[in-house]
Amino acid sequence: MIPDRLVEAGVWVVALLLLIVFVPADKRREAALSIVFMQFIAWILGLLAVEMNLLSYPVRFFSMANSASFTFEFCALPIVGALYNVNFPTSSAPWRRWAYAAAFPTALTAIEYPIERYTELVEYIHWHLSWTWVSEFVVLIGCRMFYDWFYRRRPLVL
Amino acid sequence: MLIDWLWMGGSLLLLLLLLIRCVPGDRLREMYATLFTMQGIKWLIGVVKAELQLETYPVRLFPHATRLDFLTEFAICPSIAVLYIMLVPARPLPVQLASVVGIAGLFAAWNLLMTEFTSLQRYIHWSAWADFATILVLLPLVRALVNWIMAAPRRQEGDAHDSGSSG
Repeated sequence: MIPDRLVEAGVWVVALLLLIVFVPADKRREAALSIVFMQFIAWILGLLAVEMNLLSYPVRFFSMANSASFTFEFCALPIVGALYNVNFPTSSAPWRRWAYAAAFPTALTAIEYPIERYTELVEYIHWHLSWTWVSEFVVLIGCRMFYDWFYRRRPLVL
Repeated sequence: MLIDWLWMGGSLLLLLLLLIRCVPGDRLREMYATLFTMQGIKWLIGVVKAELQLETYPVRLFPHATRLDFLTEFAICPSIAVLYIMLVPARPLPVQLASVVGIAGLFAAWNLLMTEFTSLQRYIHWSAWADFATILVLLPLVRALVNWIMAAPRRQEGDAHDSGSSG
């Protein structure tokens, strides 16, 4: 059994590697904007979820400072948001864009399922896996809409 | 308890009014880039401070979910950074330097008064000088980061859907 803290450390390593590999040099600024925007959203929504007792994170980094997941809200989800935005298939057919938009929350939910089931990193209290998918889908779309507005592009997803 | 929320609510209201007064419509993007950048940095600093128990915040928002002073890290400091970026960088260098020192001094005094007269914050291994130094360093740092982010190309090669119309 891999210790939970090692899994959490692995999330940081994998997220940073994905950031380095999948963000082209000419889109680093756009990735940075996506990261700080997603941190803003994830911070407040993560606190609300824990405050309302929907989820808990029994094992976590900065356990004295936070009852929410700093790793997920500060690092993992913002980096996923950056990858989502800078690689978004803007010129593709609508069905491809929707499939892309659905693939990200699906992958995140698929990763969260074994983490919830086999580790103490996250426990659902009044939460369900499907809510994870829906909330991530909505948050990523919101991140894309902010990105489109910031760079003065016509919204593409909705 | 009432004085605590009056202090924080009044501070937020004052900053909100200043933001409305000082941020022109054509600089909204710069405002959001500044807000979010400062939030990210202050979040990290706040988490480290709370983890090391340098300060405690007996009365705070989200008391179950966090031991950070959420309102200061999430709203007060980012708003101060926006005001700094909106009002200061276009001025001569001596005025800029004096402004950074002045804003950091005001923030430190605000923290000192909050510690003295409310239950919102208690210094353990921290001081108003540390607050002063933090803001003194963060304002130019955030300005540099925001300038870097804002330098991103507005139009992407091969992006056939650019409209340039929203805004």
